[in-house]
Amino acid sequence: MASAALEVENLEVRFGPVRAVRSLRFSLERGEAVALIGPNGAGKSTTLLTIMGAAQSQGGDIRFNGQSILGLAPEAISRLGIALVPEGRRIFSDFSVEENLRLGFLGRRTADGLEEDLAWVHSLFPIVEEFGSRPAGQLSGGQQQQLAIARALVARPEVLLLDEPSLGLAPTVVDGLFDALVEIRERGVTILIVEQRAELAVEFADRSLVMRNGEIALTLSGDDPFDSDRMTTAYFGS
Amino acid sequence: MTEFIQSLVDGVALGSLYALAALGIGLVFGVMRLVNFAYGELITAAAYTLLLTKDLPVGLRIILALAVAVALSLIMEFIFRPLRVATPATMLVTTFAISFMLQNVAVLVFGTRGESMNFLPDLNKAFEIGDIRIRWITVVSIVAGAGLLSATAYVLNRTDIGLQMRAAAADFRTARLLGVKATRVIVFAFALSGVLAAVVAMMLAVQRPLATPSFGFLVVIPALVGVVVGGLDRLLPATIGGFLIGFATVIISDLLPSESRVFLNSALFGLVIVVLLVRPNGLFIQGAASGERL
Repeated sequence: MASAALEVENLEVRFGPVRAVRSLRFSLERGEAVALIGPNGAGKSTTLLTIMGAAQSQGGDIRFNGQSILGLAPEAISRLGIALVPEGRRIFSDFSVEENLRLGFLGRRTADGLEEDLAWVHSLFPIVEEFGSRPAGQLSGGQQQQLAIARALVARPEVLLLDEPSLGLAPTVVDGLFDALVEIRERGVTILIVEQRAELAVEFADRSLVMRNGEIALTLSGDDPFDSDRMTTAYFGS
Repeated sequence: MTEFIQSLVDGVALGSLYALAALGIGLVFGVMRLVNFAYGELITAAAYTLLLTKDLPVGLRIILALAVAVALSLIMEFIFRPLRVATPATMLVTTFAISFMLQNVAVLVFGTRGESMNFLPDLNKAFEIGDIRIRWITVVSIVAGAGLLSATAYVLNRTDIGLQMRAAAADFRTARLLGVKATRVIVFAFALSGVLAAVVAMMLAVQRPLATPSFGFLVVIPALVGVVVGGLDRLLPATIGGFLIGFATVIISDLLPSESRVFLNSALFGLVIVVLLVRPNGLFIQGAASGERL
């Protein structure tokens, strides 16, 4: 049996006495889109940062294509084929849009197909090409988010992690963003998205995991209708 | 008027030297948030290299001075490696310790009495334009300063490793998440700062021919003040700050009547205190600096 793209097994992350992530276990099949939702402080962002090697885990394992990536440096993990669109976009605002994009090339395992990937990213987010020489700080919030996703995509990742891409954006902008995410998924990129706008995320994803207090409180398959009662229970406990 | 122009030229020359030292400190601070007090000992090491190679051809002496400063800088980087996750205070104290240790090693090996390096003494000869006397080393300092500052700017702004260094300096964690190799950019910054230290040592060696254990330390203190005045967080302001300290030193020293020269440092540091009171983040920095590290 082929291994899953990404497996998280009994993951433990503690910050001092606080157990931010508790025996967390889930996996992403190749090409699957999974949403990680839940209240603030549930450990969603911590989970993403731990997958990227930017937070220390105290137990468990994380496997990418069957190989453990636990303990690797962030730069090593991003070069393996996992890309993160970080919370708050983390654009280099003093750098030009083009320079921001170039930093994304670092994660590529091969220079082959770079032109093709760039063309695709430009068609997905035309402003990235159009405003290439502008300082990235001059872009609007939505445009910066597009740039952050474009920067992750030019690394040609197998797995794309997104941390709250809709944060602080107007609803119409968010709709456009999710349209782009659908296209990215159709390209075969495996997606794990952390999102506050639960309804939108559940609708987009093949599966949704509701996290609370560092654990998965509820799993929804794509076929499940959005059930606000079950969701409320999962978010706040019964 | 003539005297004033003379002061300006000398000020630019000393400013260039301090700017190079400030840039060397700023490069390392950018990628590691480490103020390397031991930077002066890189300059001292290059100076002693010039002393020990007195009898060799000049070209070889220059290469050896560069090699020694870069090698020592890389050794320092290796020592600081476990401290990357330490608090800034721990890092600072460690660099102090290394600085004092190296100075005392120099005292043990070479003694406190300076010895002449005899490095390109002819550059101290002057030529005249009208009434202004300009020493060749002044010209060399300005040219070397401008050349190296431009070269560094080129590397930072036009090359891939430069882009990665700037990214690491702006947001270290995000840079790493994108694939910037932390160790690689830090090693590169230390190597570059070693080159700058060697050049500072050579320019100084011409004008202050005695190699002493505190040879570099005496340069780094004012350069550091310049870095802080300019703004520690950004390279260009830090470098300009270094330049201004060197420049101001010469101008103030020439303005003060000769019997008041002893107050030079008091006047200079008084000025620094005023600047920091008015602009605590540095002369050219607006808003609060972020110090988030991985």
